Amino acid sequence: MIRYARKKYGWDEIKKRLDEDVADWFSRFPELTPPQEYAIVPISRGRSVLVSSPTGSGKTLTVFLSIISELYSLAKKGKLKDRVYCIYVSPLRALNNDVYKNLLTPIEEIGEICRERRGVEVNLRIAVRTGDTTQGERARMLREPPHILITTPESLAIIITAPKFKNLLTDAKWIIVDEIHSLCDNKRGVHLALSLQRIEELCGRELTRIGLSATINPLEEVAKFLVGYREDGSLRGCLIVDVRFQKKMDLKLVCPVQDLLYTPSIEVSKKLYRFLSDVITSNRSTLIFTNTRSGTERVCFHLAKLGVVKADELGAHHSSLSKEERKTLEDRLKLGKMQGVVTSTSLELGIDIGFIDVVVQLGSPKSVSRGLQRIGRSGHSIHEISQGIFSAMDLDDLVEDAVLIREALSGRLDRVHIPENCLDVLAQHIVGMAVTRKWSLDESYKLIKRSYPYRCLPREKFMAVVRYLSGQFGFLEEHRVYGKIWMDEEEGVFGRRGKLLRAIYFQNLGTIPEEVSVAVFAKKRLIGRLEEDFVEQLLPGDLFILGGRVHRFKGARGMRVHVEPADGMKPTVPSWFSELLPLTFDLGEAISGLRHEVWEFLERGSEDKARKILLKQCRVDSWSADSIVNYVRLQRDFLRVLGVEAFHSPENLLIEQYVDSGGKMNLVFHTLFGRRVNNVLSRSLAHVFGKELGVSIKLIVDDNGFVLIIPSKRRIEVLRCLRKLRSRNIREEIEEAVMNTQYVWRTFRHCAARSFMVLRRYKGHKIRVSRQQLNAETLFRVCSKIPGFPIVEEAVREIVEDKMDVKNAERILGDIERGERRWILLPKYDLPSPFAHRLLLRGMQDVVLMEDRKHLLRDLYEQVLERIRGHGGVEVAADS
Amino acid sequence: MEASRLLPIAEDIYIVDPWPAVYIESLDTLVLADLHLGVEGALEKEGIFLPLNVSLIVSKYVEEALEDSKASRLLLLGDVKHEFGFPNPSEWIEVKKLLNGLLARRIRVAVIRGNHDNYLISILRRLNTPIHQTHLNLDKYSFVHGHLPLKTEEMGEVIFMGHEHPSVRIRAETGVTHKFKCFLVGDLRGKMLIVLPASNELAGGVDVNVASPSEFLSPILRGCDLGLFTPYLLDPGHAVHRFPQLKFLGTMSYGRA
Repeated sequence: MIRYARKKYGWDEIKKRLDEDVADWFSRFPELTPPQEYAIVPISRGRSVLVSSPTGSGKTLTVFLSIISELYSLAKKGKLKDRVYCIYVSPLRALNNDVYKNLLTPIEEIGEICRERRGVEVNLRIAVRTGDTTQGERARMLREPPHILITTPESLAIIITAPKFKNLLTDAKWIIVDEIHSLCDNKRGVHLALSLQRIEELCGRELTRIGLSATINPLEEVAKFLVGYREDGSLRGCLIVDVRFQKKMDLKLVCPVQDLLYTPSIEVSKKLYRFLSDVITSNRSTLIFTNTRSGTERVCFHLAKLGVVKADELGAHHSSLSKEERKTLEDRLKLGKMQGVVTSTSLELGIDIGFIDVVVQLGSPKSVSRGLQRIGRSGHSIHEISQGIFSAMDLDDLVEDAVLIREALSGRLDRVHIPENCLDVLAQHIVGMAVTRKWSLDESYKLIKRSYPYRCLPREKFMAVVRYLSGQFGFLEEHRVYGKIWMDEEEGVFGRRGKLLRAIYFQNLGTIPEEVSVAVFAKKRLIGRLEEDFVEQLLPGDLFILGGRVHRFKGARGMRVHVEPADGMKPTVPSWFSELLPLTFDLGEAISGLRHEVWEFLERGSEDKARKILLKQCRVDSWSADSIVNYVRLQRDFLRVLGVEAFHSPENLLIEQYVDSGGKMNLVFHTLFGRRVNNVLSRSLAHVFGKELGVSIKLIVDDNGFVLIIPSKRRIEVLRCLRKLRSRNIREEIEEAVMNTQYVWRTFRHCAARSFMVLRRYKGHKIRVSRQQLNAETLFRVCSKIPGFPIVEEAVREIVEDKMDVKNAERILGDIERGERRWILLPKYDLPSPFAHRLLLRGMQDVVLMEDRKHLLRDLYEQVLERIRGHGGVEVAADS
Repeated sequence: MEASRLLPIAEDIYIVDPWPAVYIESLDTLVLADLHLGVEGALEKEGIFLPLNVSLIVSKYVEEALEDSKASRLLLLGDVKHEFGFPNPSEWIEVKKLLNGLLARRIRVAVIRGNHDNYLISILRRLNTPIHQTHLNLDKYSFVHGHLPLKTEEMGEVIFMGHEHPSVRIRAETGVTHKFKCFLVGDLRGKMLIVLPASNELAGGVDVNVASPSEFLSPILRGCDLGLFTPYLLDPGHAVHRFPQLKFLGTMSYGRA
């Protein structure tokens, strides 16, 4: 049963549950924090608990207090063995080190109390084991096992497989997962979920599982993710301590200029930087969030230029900086020596950064939960009010922020997506299991199904993975290829094959793709780095953006790329690889809702009412309110010119037929569902339209909608094509469409690495997937020839379910089929509507390729000819 | 003979569409290059474990091309197997199986020795298949592997070679880069040179429209003006298409600057 904690416990009840000395030590705190009131007693009773609370609410002690207490009681009775009792897992090494330090103090102080009062010397050991831990330290842990082990998901997967270390874990009683919100929505979390099952199997009993999370929704699902299921399929019990909203928040939206609609962007940024420096100078410490690394650099640069803060009290913090640089800045923050820090996502997680007066969010954080997590970094203690200021430089972001504030204040958070049935992670764990001992297929399948992400795993999928790993995939005996494990299907057992397997597992486990980056040089100057996958796609002469400037690719030699600046040119290579945060589905729907609300007020002539709602419910300033109302009015006026009476809403999905200056038809779909859904809708529609017309369709995708660009002179019946895409066939369409994108090659390579098909390290040396030997396209094309091959299936699944959101896309089409939502096709026009501008300018471009390779070759041939003619033969010859 | 399956590239010479094979009508001979049987084994040593047997695919190409051309003789332009050293058992099996199948169908097989073909002689001798150390001349045609410099004066009017595994990378209007294997047809000191693509998809090659001459594997090609060669782009099993000379493909992406 998943239940919410209703009962608060006071000092007396808590102390009663604690060892006397520990209780005395704990009494030195002036008061209990909310999570402590709810969680300490249940944890001391051995219940599994999920605590969701803002930072600064004393989480470390909440979970560790009763554990430390129990270990002291054991020690005093002389019953504390040289075993690991408690395992703490967090995704960040920095956080591991913080927790280690935060535990040392109480343990030393309690130890002192014991010594003074009773003359008892208690030696409670804690240790951190991560990828950084040296061989010597690991050997010492074997001799003197830590009672509390602090580790990462990857190191956990190693220690439960390591021949000697795993034997020290068999008496473990507690396992703590910190920052669970940053794990459960990705494969790292899925990987951890299986490790949790494996560790219990090792111990032969259930452990008390404790999860710690920042603001996230829905907590029930995260709780299930934490505890998993029993063998009979019933859910294990978990108590949810929900103190997400205990910290008071003061939120507001500030528009840097009076009218964002008509002010030139240079003016807007000038005003914005002035506003930011005002905020920084009037506070002790300000943390500014942007969404991208380049944005972080830019903002920091401009603020420094204004010179209102001392140069060493202003800094940027993002993931491209070296570990040392980041550490220095974090330490200075903690010591209160930084007045302003600009960051992208790297300071979202719970590492200790001391006291922040105010958080500024530039642009939209794209998700209510993320917005709250960021704002929650201010006003460190739970009793202080979090100060959050939102600001934006464009209208769409302004509207998003306004809606986000309203949603946050009314406690409506977007839902997290937990990936399911990831076959690559599964393959990795099956190898890990085979390393330790011989398994029956049944017991292994049951163990896997007890974890939340695999609760619905079909037996065939499990078997496909085992068969693949044992080299028995769909081929005759004589063609059996290399198998990592052996399996006897008749006997129903599998196990390790060969001595190399353990080394392969230890050296290659993990789920985070290793992106190899290549240094980029202009003349002899290093100007940045690019991912190898991206470089693989470049041809000499290509123009692309790096560090905000356009460059021309000249060539690559080994790990060096040579470019020259090409300012003012138009990039020829679309940047698929920019991993911008996608807008969440729920926030998208809420934005549609608000825009429609404002429109309704305008229709009724009560503009003041619209403004009032924005001011009151969305906490916007009057400039923001004016800008938002004007934006909606402009769109309405545009639609009226076209003779359209309806307006955008969650139910009304407008499609513009914008004919551009080149005569191409741009179908602009206003689907405010976020990029994860729009990727599905756009690609599957491009696939349908492409099949209908026999051409490759270029498309632009963004959070607010998408554009299909139909080559000129093609007549197309839009509504008829739309009807071909149904809720029951969209999954098939998108899977087929994905098979024909470049994106799948790269994803496949990641999945191949996770499932140990392509190793990162082998026989003691690091392997680079050499570009010449086997590029991602060839690897994918060869493997996709094998019917039902699980790793190809997984690459496609990862794209359509995790990177994209096929389930909500299905839902939307279902709504349309039931008449609950509708497409509204606008008449042809030679201008795009105001709501379409950002989409057309900034969206990410991609292509759904023709499937027919013969057709593709002919098409390419025609393109080459056209280009040669366009250039004039002589000029081309001179170029080459 | 189904004419529709044969794409003429010169008098008497055809590409067997859509396979990595050339057919010479007057000799009734099919030519393929660089089968690299057993390449999976080499990839395994690099930590890439392919779950499939590529030899099956390669053998299929050979058989389909024979079927489509109805040729009575097969010439393999070297690198029949991949490993330089002593063949591993599976490689041995693959080579034997392919040749046995061909012999059973009364196809005459001859092999030009490639740089990967050490140890191949003993297998071939047992199967009564001749192997030619440097080249083979038949009428006006010469066949070489391509890893050694050529004595042009000893060659016929048309020279066939492998070894380079040529491919091109080409950017479509849509912005996507595609990689295709290709045949190359051009002039070598007054003679016609025809370069065949590798028959094995997993055998990496050189992107001839992007690489500089010093990166070419074959000493023969390093001395040619490759820009004047005509490529025939190939997706094995799917399609072949003739393209303008390589120099035009090399400048593809400048077109949009």
